[in-house]
Amino acid sequence: MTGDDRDLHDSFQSLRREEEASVPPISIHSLAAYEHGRRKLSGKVAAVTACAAAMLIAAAVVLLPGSHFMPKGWDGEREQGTASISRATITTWKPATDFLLDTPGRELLQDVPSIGEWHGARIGPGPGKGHPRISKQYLP
Amino acid sequence: MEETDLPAELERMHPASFGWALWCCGHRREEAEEVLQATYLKILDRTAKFDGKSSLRTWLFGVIRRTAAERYRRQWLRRQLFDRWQLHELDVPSVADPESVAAASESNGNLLRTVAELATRQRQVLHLVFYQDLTIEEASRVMNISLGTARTHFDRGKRRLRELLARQEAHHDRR
Repeated sequence: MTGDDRDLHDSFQSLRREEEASVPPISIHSLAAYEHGRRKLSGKVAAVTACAAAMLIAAAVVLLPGSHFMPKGWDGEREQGTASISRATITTWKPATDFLLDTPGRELLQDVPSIGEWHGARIGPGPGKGHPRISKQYLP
Repeated sequence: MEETDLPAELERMHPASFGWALWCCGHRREEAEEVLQATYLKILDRTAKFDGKSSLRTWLFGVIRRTAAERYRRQWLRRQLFDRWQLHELDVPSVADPESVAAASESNGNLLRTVAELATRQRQVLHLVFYQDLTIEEASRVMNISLGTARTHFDRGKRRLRELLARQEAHHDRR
């Protein structure tokens, strides 16, 4: 700036004084505190998000098919070393103690008897006309 | 600079920063306040970092200028999209806000009106040198241009401003 510019400088300085008289107040410290709080909060949110993501990944690793962490018996054929991958279902599964239920006369409990016939006894015609009569067989 | 000193330094330079923000926003006070607030937040959340290569004031003024330019670009884009949709003509904002001119004293109002007729870079370099008392070299750093370019804008701006002021004075005398 040269001495010739003094007039312009004075004009601008006069404008500066006028403008600086009406500068809106601002508290940088309160802005800094606000910013600090915001940063802290965003840090907490990031930590919670990271925890949730870690839990999701852990769950996926444990529960995915073919995982080493899968419980035994979940995939029976793979345990036996067969190549095909299939899962045991509740309909095909047999308990190891099933033979204990195989008792004599079991079919009596399991079969449904047919009406009109019961172990050699037969419903025949009765004493009266049209009435059925049960004939008994005696042993010799 | 220590980080704890920064808020105190910003507060100390606030009047000068507001003056520069006003000039970057065509003397629209609300815009200047918003630009300044955005600038302070940028600095406090470390989006803008002071590297110590220049003085704090030069760096701060550079951040204010960039923030105002970003804001103006966003507004321009929004207006372009809106006008295309509404089929209205683009409303180019005036450089000197009429309210600010009216609020200023007569001589200062004249200066504001006259300076508004200069090119943006001429206006900015004159403000930084005459209003903020920066050297042309510091002004070139704030404006992110070379020293030679800043000198050219300064000389041309000065000459043009003198012409306009002389013309205005002659017009005033004739009346």
